[in-house]
Amino acid sequence: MVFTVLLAHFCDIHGPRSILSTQQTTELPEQYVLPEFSKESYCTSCLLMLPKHVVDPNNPTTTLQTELNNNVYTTTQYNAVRFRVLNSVVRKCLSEETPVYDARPMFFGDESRGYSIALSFKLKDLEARGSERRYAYIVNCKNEKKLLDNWGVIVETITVMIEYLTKKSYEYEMVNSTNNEIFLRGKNMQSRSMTELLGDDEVFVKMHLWNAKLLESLSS
Amino acid sequence: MLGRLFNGRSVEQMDPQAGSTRSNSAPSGNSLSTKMMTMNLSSISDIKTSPFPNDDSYSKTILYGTPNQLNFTPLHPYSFRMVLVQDKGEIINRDNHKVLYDSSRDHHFDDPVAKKCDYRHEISELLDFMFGNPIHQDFHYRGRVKLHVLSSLPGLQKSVLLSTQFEHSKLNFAIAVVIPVNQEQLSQCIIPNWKQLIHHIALIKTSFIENHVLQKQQQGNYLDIAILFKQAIISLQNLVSIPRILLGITQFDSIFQDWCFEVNNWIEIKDGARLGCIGTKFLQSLLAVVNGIKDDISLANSNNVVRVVIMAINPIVVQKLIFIISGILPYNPELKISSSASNIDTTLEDATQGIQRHNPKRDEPVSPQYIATTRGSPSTPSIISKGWEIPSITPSRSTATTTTMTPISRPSMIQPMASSSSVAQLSSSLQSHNSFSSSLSRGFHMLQNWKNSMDSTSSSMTNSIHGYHTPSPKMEYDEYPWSTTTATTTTPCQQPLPNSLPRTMSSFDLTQNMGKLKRVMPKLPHIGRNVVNVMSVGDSCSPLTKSERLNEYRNELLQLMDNSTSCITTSLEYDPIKSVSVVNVQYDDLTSEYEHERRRTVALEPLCGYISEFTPCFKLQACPPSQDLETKIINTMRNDLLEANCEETRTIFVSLRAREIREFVINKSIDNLGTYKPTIRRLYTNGKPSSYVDRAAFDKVSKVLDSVGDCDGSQESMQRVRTLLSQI
Repeated sequence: MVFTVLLAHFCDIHGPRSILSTQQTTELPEQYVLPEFSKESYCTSCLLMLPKHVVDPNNPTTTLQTELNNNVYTTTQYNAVRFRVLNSVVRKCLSEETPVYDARPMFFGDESRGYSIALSFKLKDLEARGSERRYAYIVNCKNEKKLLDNWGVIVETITVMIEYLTKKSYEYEMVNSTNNEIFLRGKNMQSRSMTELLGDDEVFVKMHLWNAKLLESLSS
Repeated sequence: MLGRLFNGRSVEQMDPQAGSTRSNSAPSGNSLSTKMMTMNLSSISDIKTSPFPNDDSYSKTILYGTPNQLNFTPLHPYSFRMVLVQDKGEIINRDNHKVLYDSSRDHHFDDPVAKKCDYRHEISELLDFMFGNPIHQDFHYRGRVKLHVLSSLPGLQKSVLLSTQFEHSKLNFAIAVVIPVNQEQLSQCIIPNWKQLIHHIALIKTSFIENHVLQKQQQGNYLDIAILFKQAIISLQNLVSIPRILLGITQFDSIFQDWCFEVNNWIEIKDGARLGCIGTKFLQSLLAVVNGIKDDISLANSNNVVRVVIMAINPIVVQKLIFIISGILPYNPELKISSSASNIDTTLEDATQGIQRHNPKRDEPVSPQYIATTRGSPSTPSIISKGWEIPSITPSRSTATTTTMTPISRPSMIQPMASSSSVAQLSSSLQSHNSFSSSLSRGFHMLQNWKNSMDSTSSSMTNSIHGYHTPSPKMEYDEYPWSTTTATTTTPCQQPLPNSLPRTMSSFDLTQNMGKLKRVMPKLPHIGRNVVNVMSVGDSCSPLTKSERLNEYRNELLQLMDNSTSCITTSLEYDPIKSVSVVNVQYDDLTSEYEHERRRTVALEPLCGYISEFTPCFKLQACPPSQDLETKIINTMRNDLLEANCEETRTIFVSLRAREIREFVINKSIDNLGTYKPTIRRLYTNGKPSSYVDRAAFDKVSKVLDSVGDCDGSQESMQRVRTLLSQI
């Protein structure tokens, strides 16, 4: 059963966007590799940023892959196979529903777009609208029962990740903040990636690994 | 329908405690059947849900996999809440939503103790979740049930909201139900019962549309909605408190031996198939019928609604029948049950010390004194308290057929004749007794010895002893009166001795002669489970608590995220097809598969044993007879068809006392539209199966049961039975 893990972001500029999408590569692995795509409709805050030392300087680097127990897990900016459906799920979660951004889980779905468990959260960023950036961790699956049966594993795994991200961003902000929140009011907002908010340029690679482990446990 | 019945009456006037709200009109094509809505709110608060109702340790072990008490989540009925809201479509208006019904305003749902504000969320919070963003509404999702976790309140720490939007007559509505469970309880209360909860919301929605939107004569009177809501609460209470059968435990040899044993006992005692008597084919017929729907019963992803309802009085007897049925049902492969599981739970023995069925002196003839002391009779006649001398050979009419395999004369062990049928019933009653729920064969031996000894005394003495030490056979209501049916058969004395052992003899061999198959409480690996879920099978470690699991995840995550400890290696690979580079990421994962397995819980299907009354949400159940049981079942089936994807609903209705199996079927065929009239077929009646029973399945089941009769307890013979079982 195909699960997909998404990290979605409500971008101040572009609205609901998928930052990364991880899924198990079941068949025809090449179809899961994302071709080069235009970055014009993305900004720093909604783009999958890979660390400089892993990016190929001669070719565009779009895809992360990991093999665990003979299963291959692929992470891309957006889902190469179910792009439209999962974009709709992201929109539903961050725009059409009422997310509370405190990591409380929410469940919704239907047969055509699959069923989703979503946990929304926000990270403090003085340069963002409302001084916070809003994200959602979403696990989508076509099978409602399968998804619900794994409620505990999914929610606990993601809750721990959100706890870490929130704490880490707070600690980083405390160390690096110049306390210019008031000064910045009225100034143009700047896009900032989660890598900047956490001071860790490998954070998406690590999230990819965490998602792969979650998917591995769901598939076993 | 309800709308007409309640027309003109207020909620106060229609106090459900005052009487029933029955409707006798035939339901229309899509109408809601509410004939069973005869309940009151006080019955909710008074529900005393105790696990293992009427279950002894043996029944618990064979049905649930453990004799221990199972944990369940008590739900506070007054903390439930339901709201029914209309979206007026005036987005710019602050009062865009009209609350049509709110159970927190219904005095029937008032908690006599707590303050409302302590456990009632603001309606605005609920509306936000129910309708979502008013500007970016997604009409595609309407009709689907979604779940939100609500904020904490002083009197309600955790709760979840189930809600659905729907449109009718160009009006938008939403129903939401607040359920007082926290996230940990979610996996025990909500997730395994998701289908049933959705069904209840669908019932409320249908009733609302029929009685309040289409008829428009129910202004302010939402008693039908209130009753359905109460029904949903009670249903969920039942679902989370009644223990569910653990399918698949017959994969363990010890339980499988018991299964074979119970099958043999049933065929011999209940169906009357003994030496010289063919017996009825009740069990074969029932298993053949159940076999035809077994996937729908035990697999959750089936759209066909099926139920097996057994009407019986004696819970012990019917629990054993359910155990037999459970042996042919497929189990969830995620349970990973294997017969080679080695971690026998030693705590079970301690828990069941008092009810072990092993006779410490089983090699010796059993004396009535043993019977008396084992059963703990309040008083014992002197002749018994002194102990009786058991005659080594009883002069009886069937002495010629005595076999050397048993110390007693076999034909006289089970006599369907008038002179001994009461003894047979007596024996069954004895077996039903908790402290004497040992091998029935052994019970027969004891009884036979007893009977033989009594033959040498006066018959009046026999009667007096019967009166002293056994439940009256009259109490065994579910006992089939097979003495009448076998009256036409040849008496055992006139029958040639068959080559194979009779079933009782086989059972005896199975239980007594095989040293490795002592009839003791079946030993199982440790099964970590609660009323609804199974957390571990064969794993002696107790399941991790939520905080332990979270700590484990945290440690794993910290190891990954901390740059100083994580060992992430990357390599680039060029993909010539897409002309991009792919980053291969490797990580030394320290978490074993085993740890992942421990985190997984498997929800059991709603199959239960004997419960106090018919409960629609259970697909397999036994319940006592009641006058309106059939009506309840048929109304429940009509309600099943409210599900959009449900085309047909089927119930196998078994009357154990009458030994009758009937099948009720209702479908959405065009002929049936507007009436939902059930098709009723008798599958087994007057002691024989009808032509509706699948002959091929019947033959296969007969083969299995024959192999059970031939089973001598060896691995080979049990494997033979298992192979045949897998082929039906």
